[in-house]
Amino acid sequence: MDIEISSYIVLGALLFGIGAIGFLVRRNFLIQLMSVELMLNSVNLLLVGFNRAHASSHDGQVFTFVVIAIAAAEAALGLALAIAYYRFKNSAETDLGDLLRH
Amino acid sequence: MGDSTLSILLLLTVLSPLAGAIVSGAFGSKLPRTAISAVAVGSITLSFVFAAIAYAAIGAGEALVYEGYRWITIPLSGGREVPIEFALRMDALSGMMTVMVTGIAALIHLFSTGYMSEERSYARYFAHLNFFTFSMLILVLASNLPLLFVGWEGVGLASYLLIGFWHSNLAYEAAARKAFIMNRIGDLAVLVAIFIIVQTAGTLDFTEINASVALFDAAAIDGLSMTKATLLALLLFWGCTAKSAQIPLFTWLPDAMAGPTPVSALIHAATMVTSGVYLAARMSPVFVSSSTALTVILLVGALTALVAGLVAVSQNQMKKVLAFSTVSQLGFMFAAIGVGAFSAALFHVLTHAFFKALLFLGSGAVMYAVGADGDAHLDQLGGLRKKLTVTAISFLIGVVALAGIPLTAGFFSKDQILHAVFGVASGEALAAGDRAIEIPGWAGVAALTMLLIAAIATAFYAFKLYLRTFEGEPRSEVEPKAVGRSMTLPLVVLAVGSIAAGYLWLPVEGMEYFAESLRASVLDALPVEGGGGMLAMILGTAAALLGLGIAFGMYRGATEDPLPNKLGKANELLMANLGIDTLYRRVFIAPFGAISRFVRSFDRETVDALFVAIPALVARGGAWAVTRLQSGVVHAQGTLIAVGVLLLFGFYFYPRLSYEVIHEGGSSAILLPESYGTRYRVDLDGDGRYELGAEGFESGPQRIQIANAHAVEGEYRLLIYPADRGADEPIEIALSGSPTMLTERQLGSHYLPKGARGSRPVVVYQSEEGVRIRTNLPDEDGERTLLPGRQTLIGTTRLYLAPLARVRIEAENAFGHVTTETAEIALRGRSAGSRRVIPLPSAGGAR
Amino acid sequence: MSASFSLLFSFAAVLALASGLGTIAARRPLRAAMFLLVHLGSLALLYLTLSAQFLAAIQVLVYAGAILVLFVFVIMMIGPGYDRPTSFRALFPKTLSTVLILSLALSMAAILGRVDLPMSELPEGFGGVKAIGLALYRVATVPFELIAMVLTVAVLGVLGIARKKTAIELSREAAPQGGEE
Repeated sequence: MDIEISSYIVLGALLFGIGAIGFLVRRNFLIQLMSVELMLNSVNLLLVGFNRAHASSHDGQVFTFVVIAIAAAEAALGLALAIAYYRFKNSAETDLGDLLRH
Repeated sequence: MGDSTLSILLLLTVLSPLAGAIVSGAFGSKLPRTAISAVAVGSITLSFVFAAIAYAAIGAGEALVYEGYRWITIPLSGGREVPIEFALRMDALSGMMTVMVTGIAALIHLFSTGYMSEERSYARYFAHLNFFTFSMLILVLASNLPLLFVGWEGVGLASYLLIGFWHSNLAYEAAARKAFIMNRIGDLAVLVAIFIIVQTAGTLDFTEINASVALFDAAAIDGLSMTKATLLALLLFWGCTAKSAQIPLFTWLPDAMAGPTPVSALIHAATMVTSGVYLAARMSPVFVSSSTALTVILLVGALTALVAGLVAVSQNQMKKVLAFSTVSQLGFMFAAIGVGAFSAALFHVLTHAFFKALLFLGSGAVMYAVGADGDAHLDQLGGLRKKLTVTAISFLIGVVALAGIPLTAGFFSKDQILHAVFGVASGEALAAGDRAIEIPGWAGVAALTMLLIAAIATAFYAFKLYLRTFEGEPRSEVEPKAVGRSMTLPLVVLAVGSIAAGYLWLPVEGMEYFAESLRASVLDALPVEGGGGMLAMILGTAAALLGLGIAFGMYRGATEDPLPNKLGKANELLMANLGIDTLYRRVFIAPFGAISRFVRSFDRETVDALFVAIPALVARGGAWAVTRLQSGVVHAQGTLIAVGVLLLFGFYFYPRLSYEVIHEGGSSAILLPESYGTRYRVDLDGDGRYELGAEGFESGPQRIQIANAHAVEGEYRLLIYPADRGADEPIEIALSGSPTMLTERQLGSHYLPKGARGSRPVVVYQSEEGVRIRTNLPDEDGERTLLPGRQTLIGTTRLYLAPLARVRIEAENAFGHVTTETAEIALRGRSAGSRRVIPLPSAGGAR
Repeated sequence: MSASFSLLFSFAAVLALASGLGTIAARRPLRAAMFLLVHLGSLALLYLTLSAQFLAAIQVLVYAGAILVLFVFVIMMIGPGYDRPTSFRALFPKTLSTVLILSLALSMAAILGRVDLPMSELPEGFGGVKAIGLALYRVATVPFELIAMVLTVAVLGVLGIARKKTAIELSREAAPQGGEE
């Protein structure tokens, strides 16, 4: 018996929720970046899962491949921002940064 | 040359000044003055030549028409359309006007080249002047009322531009605005007149309007005890009072002296002011079909002639005298129109154009010579005859013609007017065509008296003007400049015209063409029986000579003006134009200003507070609240995103069930809308099997027909269609085994047949096979049975027994939540909207 | 095989959930990074249950090998900081966002979890290096080349961001008397 696709969907939704909550609740720049990675990974899981259900092509996996590359670029940029932010604020706490307020 | 070739001349006549205006206006700053002069004078002269050729080509009663293009189409109710063409039409009337306008305008342009030679805005001046002439030509040559109105407005605009030519002087600017606003007051009436004509006659072409005058006769206006013709004539005359400076809208004309003197000559002599007279003559059949309007015009015209003539007596500036003189002479013309003597009025327009242009240009030459700015004060002139011989002689000719001394042009035309008015005063019966005109005799007598006094005044002020300017000793040290050839030449030409124009009217062999064609182009009111007599001429001549005598007696050898001493207070009053300007200021302008100030303060303090300050405060408060949300902190902003996503999510997946029941074409149906994530299942007959979605829920939109077979057995709804309520939405009544009495409200007020009185109950109850209906009406006593799907009549009220369907609708949203609703639908079948009359059933059944 | 797959799935799913929770709950960033490492590994296991062997390898190589190492570098560079304890003022938005996201994720799981899609028959070599390679170079050539561009741009961006001094630093340099902390 194959594993139902719905199991992967539920798991993906929960992982996405975990990532989103982490992003919104935590204030450490680095942990927020990790939360973003969690969300990206949950989407990847769904892509691969649906690709498994439509196995005639590899579109989902190719898409996941692209997402991983984007995630790498995003991590590099995000970490560079973290360093710049740290030099600027002398802290990694994001709620200190509110230059864009009204 | 065929007609079509000739008719091009009309277009060229009109376009030539326009081209001149465009050239001077657009490129004037780059052209040398000689080029501008050549373009301006040349274009008008060309226009004059074209007009003269065209005029010479048309015979009496004929017309030359240039058909341009379809300009506007006015849709009327009932699918009719009123086409308005850009078409130019020249008959004897418009031909005379065109030749006169272009001819005199050409002379004035020529004069202007000398008079304005030191002006900085030389090109602008000639652009405006050419545009003025163009507008006047459109006005005169228009074949329909809207096109005439274009020229009418164009003349108003051009006069505004030219009166305010020296617009850095605020007083001149005010005079220009005054002229413009006064003219707008009149334009309103003309517009209303146009609307009435469209509505009544369904045409705006002059010939067609004049041919359908009878329509204006018949149709009286609700609530107004006058015919449409009277209303129209009065409205048009109202427009004329503004354009042609009649009481009460004449005060702009004296102020219009603010413009350069040749402009005054153009406005007063050939264009603008004569357009009122022209309009009246153009629509003479409309005017003569209302004796009431004619009486009003006669009295207003005569009164204007008198008042303006008296005011002119006291004025002591050259152009002021001439301005009031123009108003007075226009009064003469309208008095002539008032007795239906349109050709006489037009003749006076022509002669007046010559001598008034001459006088204005002459005074312009004087002002140029002595270097007077704005206007020449009579107290500072005198003795100019020796220096300005040509000017003086031609001015004298103009004065003589204005005064109406025999054998001058003014004499002939004024005699025509006095003659016509005299006829009315002496009680002659008048008729225009086959229509009798009834102007009360007292009005004629009053008008004649006023006109004769005005004629005396005219002769007096005319000679006063001449004597004070050119005779006696110089009252100023200024050495007059020489007046150039470009200025004297027009004077001489006009002087010749001021004498010769009068002889056009004489019934001499070979000359009668002019007068006859002019008479043929308007509908004159003529004396029924011959009429005439020399008395009018004698009276007119006597009046002129009397005025002449008084002027000579008073000013011969006088150095100072004796008039102020003799008249005292009256002179001051006359100097101030009888205080009419002050009166208008007090009566109209001051209240208007007060209202405006009140409105402004209301706007600022109430409206702005209510609709500006308070909304601004609310918006600012809202903005304050919203900006609090924008904290700039990542978490807070991210939370807002989450809120938004959740709201969207809820919008799509909230359980909803909405449906619509429609009855059409004899069957009923349920409409289920498309809604995201919502799917439906429908059981039509309550048997547990689903007609829609038997294999699972289905998404919308869906339309499910309900057939009679789906109805519940033994359950019905009684539908009542009262005759007085339309057949669309019936009243539904649920039935039961126990009897129900139908109320009169349900049955409609007219259900009782004729003759039935009092309370007539209708009782219904359900039986085994259908519905029993028990009535107590005179002609259909007893009971009947109504079967399902059938109808019956009680009086005029239709009853229909509808099968009832219980429909179970289930909607499943994206969460799997199912909302259920049971709809009870009365199947109306073909009863809805059916106008079929069912024969009255006999007592006992309706099978 | 299916039974072992479902066992593997259960294990990896529980591990992914737990390590994900650990990532967002850890107070020290370094611990969070370790949890993330576990999480990425468990995802690689999940990919295996979906017959995506190549992606599982990539997941480990790129995510665990490259991205996470980068994270650890930066954590070390900045210094292992702690979050301050949540202040009372921040409690409300945090609770609100937690509730919102939870309801969102649960309702999504509830709705989409009802999707009934049978797993199709696997073609020969599905998810292998050859199949993915063919897909990448034949079907998705342009996106694949675009990835190279994106990465180059990212590198340039990183250089720009990390190297430049901020406006405040510049102003401090311009006015040395200004409060040096």
